[in-house]
Amino acid sequence: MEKFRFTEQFFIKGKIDSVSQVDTRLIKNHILSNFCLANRMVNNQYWYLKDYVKVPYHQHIQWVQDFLRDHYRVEHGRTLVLLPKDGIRGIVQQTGESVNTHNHIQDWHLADSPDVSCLYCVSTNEKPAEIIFEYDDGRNRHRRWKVPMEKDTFILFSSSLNHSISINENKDFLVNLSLQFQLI
Amino acid sequence: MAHFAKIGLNSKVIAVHGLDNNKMLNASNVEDETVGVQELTRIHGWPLWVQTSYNTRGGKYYNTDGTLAADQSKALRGNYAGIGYLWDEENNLFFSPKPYASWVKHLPTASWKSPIGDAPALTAEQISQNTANTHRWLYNWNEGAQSWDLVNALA
Repeated sequence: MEKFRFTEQFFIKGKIDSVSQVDTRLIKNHILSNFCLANRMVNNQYWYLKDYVKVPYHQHIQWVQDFLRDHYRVEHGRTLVLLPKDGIRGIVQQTGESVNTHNHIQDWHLADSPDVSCLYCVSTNEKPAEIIFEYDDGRNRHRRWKVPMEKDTFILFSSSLNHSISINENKDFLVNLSLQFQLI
Repeated sequence: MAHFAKIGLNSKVIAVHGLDNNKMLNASNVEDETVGVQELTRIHGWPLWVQTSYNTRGGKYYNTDGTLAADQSKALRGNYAGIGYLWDEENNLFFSPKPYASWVKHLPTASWKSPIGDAPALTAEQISQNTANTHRWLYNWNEGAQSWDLVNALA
């Protein structure tokens, strides 16, 4: 018997090797320095994008992308290419804030939708938040998988996966870098 | 143009980048691999780079027209590195990905060999049948039986 797999949903958790010169402190500062009303992705407080800010180029963010692209390619044979428009975003959660359930596929604009998303935790807070993936598995519906977001940890996942981010229980801002890629 | 392989922590080649030869000149105006590594580290924030030769394969250096070079002193590190290749620091060689678990390194040609050596040569009759396109005889490695199996690819 031969089995054919049509599609898959996944997440990959890892850390950037210590030999890399990526400095998460600089990335965090860069995101926070762009955390202003003018850079908010949307102003609608009920939409998940309200916590996202546009982040311009930064050398260390480029190095994060390079690391993910090179290692994903050698392990999985496909290349991660950053979305040309708004592929880099920062997520800033203030105390008590969470991020609503969403996924990154734009049904009205599939050509500009990502295949793989990445969340890179650049905060140093005491209590890590969690990213909660929600998925269906046949008749087992609405399953959930919680992944703690520890400092310097990246989580690559299928952009079609519904996910949310739990409440920030710290006094300080919770800062994450969000990257969105297409596969070629 | 010089070429450098970007090495992952598991000794796998994760990328290959070109570098202008002018960017790897030392204070004496001589090309120096260390200078190239420093330049690439500055640009990419990753310190593990090893120079590789575009014209070297199987332990031999070839001219740009594909002919074997008379001066083999230019041969560098066995093979031109590619993504997924293995960097053997001990032997200073790049190897293609290991084709079978049982195969072993052959250092003079920077390649992998089966534990029982190369496949047997085809007979004159098999070669003539291949030439006539009535058969396509070749040997495939059988990892389970640890042997070379003669097969007709046209069958």
